Amino acid sequence: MILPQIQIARAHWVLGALFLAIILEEYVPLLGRDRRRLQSRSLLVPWALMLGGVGVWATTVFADIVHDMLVHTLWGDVLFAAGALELARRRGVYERPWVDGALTFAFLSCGGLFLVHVAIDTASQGESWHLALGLLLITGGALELLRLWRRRAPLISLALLPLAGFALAVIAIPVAAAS
Amino acid sequence: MPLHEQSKAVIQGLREGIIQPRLVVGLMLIAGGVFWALFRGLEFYGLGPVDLAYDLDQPPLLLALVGVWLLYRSRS
Repeated sequence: MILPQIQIARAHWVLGALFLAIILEEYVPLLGRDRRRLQSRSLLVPWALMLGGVGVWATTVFADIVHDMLVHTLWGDVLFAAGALELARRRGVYERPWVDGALTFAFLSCGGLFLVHVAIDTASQGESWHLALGLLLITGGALELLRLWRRRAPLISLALLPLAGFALAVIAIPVAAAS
Repeated sequence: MPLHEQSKAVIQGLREGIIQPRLVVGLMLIAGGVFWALFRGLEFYGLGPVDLAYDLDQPPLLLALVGVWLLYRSRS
């Protein structure tokens, strides 16, 4: 079964909205009465990551181009692994310093996979979109990596801008570019 | 928490001068969704279960729905 392009665009829009919810939940702070940031351990983030992984994996089933199948499989794996690690961390069943970088790793590797997608499918209608999306994710991941390395906890992370830009671009992706 | 309790919490926060960033971003997203819908237009597919999913799966509505979610999550 091969989906028409409008259905592919619809899947991108939903995934974009899911990703926007993840990013805003994670990076827009909730202030307490003392105006300090309340520590968020929302389980929405890992669940949404795993749900996104299932959605991306489904593309593998419906895709008709081999590199789309391959790249979407890897995206699904990365999202599911990041979701599982975040779930374990937020439930408090597995707390190691390196697990704090699970989301950052997911952003960087998903961004890298966008560039792989562009490199192996240069004739795609969505080439410039894929390139922009990949660069936004890599920028967001790099900013988060820098924040983790410097052990800073600003009120609002700079990574919010490129990551929210990524999610908004996926929501706004035109039907012609969704392939 | 019931809706009127949530509203009280938001109003109490505003009285104390605490403006939740989530509240601001949520309202911006809803406003963006409304303007986008006015500019782009929305399709109506029907009220059946599948049609309803198609009705909601449109970029301006998705943006506004994320905004509503963020408003809900802006309670401290």
